[in-house]
Amino acid sequence: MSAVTGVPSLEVRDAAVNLGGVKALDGVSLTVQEGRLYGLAGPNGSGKSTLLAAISRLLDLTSGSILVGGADVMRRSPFEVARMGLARTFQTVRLMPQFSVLENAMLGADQPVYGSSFVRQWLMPWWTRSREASVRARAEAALERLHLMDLRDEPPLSLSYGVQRKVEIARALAAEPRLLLLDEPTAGMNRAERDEIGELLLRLRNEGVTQVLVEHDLKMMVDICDHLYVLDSGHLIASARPAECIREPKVVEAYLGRGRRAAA
Amino acid sequence: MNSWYFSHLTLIQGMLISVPLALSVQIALRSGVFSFASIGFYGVGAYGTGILTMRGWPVLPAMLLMIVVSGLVAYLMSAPLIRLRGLYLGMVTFAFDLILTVVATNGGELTGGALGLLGVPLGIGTGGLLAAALVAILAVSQLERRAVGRALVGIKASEELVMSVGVDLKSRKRTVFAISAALGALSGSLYVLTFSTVQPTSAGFTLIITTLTMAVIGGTSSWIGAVIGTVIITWLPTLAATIGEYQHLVYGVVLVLVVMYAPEGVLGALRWLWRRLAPRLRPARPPALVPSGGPPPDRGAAARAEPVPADRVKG
Repeated sequence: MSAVTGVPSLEVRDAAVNLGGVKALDGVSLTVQEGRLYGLAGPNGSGKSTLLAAISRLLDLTSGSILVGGADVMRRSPFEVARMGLARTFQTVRLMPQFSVLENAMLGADQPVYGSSFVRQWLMPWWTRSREASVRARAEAALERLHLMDLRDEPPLSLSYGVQRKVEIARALAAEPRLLLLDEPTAGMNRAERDEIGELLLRLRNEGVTQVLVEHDLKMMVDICDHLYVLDSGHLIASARPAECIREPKVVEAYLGRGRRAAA
Repeated sequence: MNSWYFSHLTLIQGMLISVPLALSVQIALRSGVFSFASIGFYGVGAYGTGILTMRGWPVLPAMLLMIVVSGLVAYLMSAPLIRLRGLYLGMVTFAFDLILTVVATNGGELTGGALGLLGVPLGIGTGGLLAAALVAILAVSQLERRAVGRALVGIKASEELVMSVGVDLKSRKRTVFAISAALGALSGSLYVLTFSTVQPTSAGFTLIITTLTMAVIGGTSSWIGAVIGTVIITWLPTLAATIGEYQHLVYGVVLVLVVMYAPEGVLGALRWLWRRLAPRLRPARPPALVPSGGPPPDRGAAARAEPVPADRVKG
């Protein structure tokens, strides 16, 4: 599906973010190669979500730069980065309560299929008919992958939190992204749902979708990721294959605190 | 029927004129743009069309010019305004409306001062009003459908979400602002062409409250709500003639009650009722053919799903 071009899908160079005097990110540099599944780990408040927000341009870097597919995106808007093939899920689910599960998933496919001409979308129903059909097809394919087709007409707020999270993932998949950022996709899910998501992410990886996964479930990250980056207090403290990564003293210390290395 | 029609003509006309205005507020609120600017453009439309037709312009070009100009001005104006959030945008657009009232009062001969314009040539019949209201309804209902509809509702749910799926949020908000202003100008034009007069207070505080009440009582989630609200607010005073001068007090109380107990308005209440009653109204349905009234599950998507690739061996 994806040719290996040699250009990294994503490059973060010396990124820093100051939020009201707090250094949420400080000198973080990392590279994400095409078609692989990366894990972004670290304790609470280590800057994982901040980094994802910066990559999707919802948050400005104080200094440093971010390249998507080799292009500097620091002067681009979030919607422009999205149009470059980047999709993301949010740590807190963002679903439209007045729309069905299917329509929520369709939102993800709208822009890639319809394009941006407002007047045509607004006043030319005959022009949009075939596009609406292909948006629906994409959304249904995404729901199918998450086994949500039975719930497609339900209002999202009537569903359990774990299922709402799956709808959130389906919306991102409906965009058929090349680079997918997942912010704690399995938070609030039970074991079976987590395993299902883990398998799905692996399949996506095998189809060539580049992914950056933020998770609290370290075991899941070790199981499925190609590479782990670990953040602590805004610093990148480790970058290695998962199995090696979790043995690094700095990582153990970050997760368990000082003086607990022996226990780990 | 005929005598009823003629004795209520003013109300019917007033109702048709209010439809685009109520829609202008509804479309803004629905998209999370808390703006009253369209009330100001109602004044612009009324004065502009009045002044032009009094100087011999034909009705349709005068109306169209004011609608287009209002839309364009609103689009340009919106650049700084859409940075404001929620209540702040509401306050600024509120001030904009009041400033226009002052401008109209002090406009000398052009605007007729505090007396306003008198003797604007009548230029539209009830049929024309109905046509204009239908055009407005059509335009706004199309904003609720397909990709445009999803994006606009998404803005209210989460602006970050909408941007993250590739929607140009600023451009969408500015366009909504312009459409809202154009609808306001349309409504104002219709008013002056029907009643042949407009005063500085016509587009003032009272109209803001009345229009907001229409949109909110009906329910802002759909154009249907704005139409329901317009009908209610137009006919309520005649049904309860005793209200009289306390009319706006009653609007205020009703508005507070609706916001507190039925934030989705009459439309939301009707939908809620429908969800409750619908299953009971069709007990004769043969069981289990189509579960829960939805369309049959789509087999096409299942067939489209790709074959499962071999999972990577965990390493």
